[in-house]
Amino acid sequence: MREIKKLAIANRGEVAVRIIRACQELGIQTVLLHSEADIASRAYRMSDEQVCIGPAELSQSYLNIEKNIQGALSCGADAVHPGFGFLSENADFAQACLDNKIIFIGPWPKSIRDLGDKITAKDIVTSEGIPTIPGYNGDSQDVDALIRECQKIGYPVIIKATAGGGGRGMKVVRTTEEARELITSAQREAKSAFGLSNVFIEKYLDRAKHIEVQVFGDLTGQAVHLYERECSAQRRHQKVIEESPAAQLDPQIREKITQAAITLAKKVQYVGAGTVEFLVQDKDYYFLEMNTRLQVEHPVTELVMGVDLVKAQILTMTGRMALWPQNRLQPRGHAIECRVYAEDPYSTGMPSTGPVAFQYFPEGPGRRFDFAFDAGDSVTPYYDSMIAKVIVWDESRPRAIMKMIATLKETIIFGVKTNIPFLLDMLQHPEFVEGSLTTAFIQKYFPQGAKPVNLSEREKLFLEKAAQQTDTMGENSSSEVPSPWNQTWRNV
Amino acid sequence: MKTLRLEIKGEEMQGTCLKVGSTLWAHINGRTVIYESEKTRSSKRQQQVSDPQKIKAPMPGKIIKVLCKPGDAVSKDQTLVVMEAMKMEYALKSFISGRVEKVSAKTDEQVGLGQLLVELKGNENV
Repeated sequence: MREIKKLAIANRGEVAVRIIRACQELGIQTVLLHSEADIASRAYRMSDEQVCIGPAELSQSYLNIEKNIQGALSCGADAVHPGFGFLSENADFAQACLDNKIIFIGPWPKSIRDLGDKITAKDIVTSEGIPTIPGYNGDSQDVDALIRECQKIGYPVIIKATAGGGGRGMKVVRTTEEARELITSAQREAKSAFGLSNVFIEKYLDRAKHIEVQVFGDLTGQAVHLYERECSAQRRHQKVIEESPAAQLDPQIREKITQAAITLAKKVQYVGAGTVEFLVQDKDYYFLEMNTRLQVEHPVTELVMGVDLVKAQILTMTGRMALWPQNRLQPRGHAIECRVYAEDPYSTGMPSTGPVAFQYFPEGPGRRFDFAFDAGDSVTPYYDSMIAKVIVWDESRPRAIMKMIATLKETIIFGVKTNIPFLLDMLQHPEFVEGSLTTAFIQKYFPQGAKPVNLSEREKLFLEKAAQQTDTMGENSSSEVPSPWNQTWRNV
Repeated sequence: MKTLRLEIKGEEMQGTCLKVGSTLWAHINGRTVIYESEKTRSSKRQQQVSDPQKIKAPMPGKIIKVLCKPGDAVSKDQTLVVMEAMKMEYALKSFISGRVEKVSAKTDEQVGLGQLLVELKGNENV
């Protein structure tokens, strides 16, 4: 077992900041392996060393195994933390780390390969008697053959990237007429996001909850679960609001899915943090996929379970982690996470880029802010538009919702538009408050994003007066998209 | 950034304000709004009269697919161009029914914000 004195981060944004925080607390030096486009960022300023591994283009930096390995070797890093996205679920990268005597903070390459390829993963879980969704997972990628399979399974179906995750390359197909365009689009998105255009097809469940189980394994083959998270609030299969415990879940199903998750983790001798995703519809549950990495929404589990998953990941790889005994793991209270995206909330998620002119996160008990940029930094069009996560904990779900609403109402981001108004609308929707939401929630109630709000006369007068009394800061370099509703004022 | 407390119709109102270029960003009553003075608005309107016959890039990104060619008849909401930005695909659809006049979008090309991609001619008498 080797000590980790220096750890390289093969990632960017808020997760790089999260990993730096864990390392600072463990007394580990950090090296940020970054692209040319990410010099003006918090992770760059907070890390101890920085190595530029290439231009903004993903294939030449964050998705490039060779450049990340060279970067880590050049500064003598003992370990690499891949964060999530990018190379975090790339078995070749994990193997390349091992080959170069670098500790990969994550599971063994074989686990990543077997579980990361969703078709192999499905075979493994089926052999353990865990239910999966009916579908097609054959080798043929011919569009006509895939269309025939769609018809065989019966609409609606969902097309997914074999190597994917995070909603990229996923399309719901409802008729044969639209199948061709959507399948080829899914293949292109898969190719662009993961370098592999292969897709598979599944029956699409239209009133299911997305429930996932956090698991954690150690080097001796032991594994525990840290209960579930619910992530039913999704737009285009990208999660927007996550919580733990689930808003509504039958205790018997909770028992079944947590046991299934542990069975799977032990079966593959899983090491570190992983997430087993399920869809729960009525009294049925189906295995969706296992993500062999830290999840974006890991903070909600940290808050209700009272653990630090990132430190646990690092300590596990040095053999210094005593795995939490399962019977001591009990959730307490309720946590919610809202993902803040730089996008126009009234225009179905059109990305908003440009400099963050000012931001304020209203601190308080049980509030956590994981964010990527400081004021003055720019949101660029090269990467995912998630710029921050707001996470709250309180004693119960209703209180956590109220705390989240109060927190978001005071959160200020100037310079780029954000989805905060959209988040606030969702948090106040009766179905969210009640907890009965399914993955259809956003599509059903918010197909156009946030609901426009009118300003009062007094607010309009305030703005007019304020405009005369406020000095201009810098040049207006934000990307102002010509908008169909070019009014005097706009909600952001 | 400054926090202003102003008297509006006899009552005090507080907001956090910052001007970025000609745009005022303000956070009042729990939400962020942006405001432009009448003068900048009218000049902006002249620059960007929204013309439904012109399909422009709504964000910087890459052209993934061009689904029309000059002379094609198109219907309202038909997808003309597919773009990629922030790793997601966006379909740019026609606002009107008509005919394609000119296509300047090229597959795999990086385009800037507001770049003209397709010009249409709308059906008359619609």
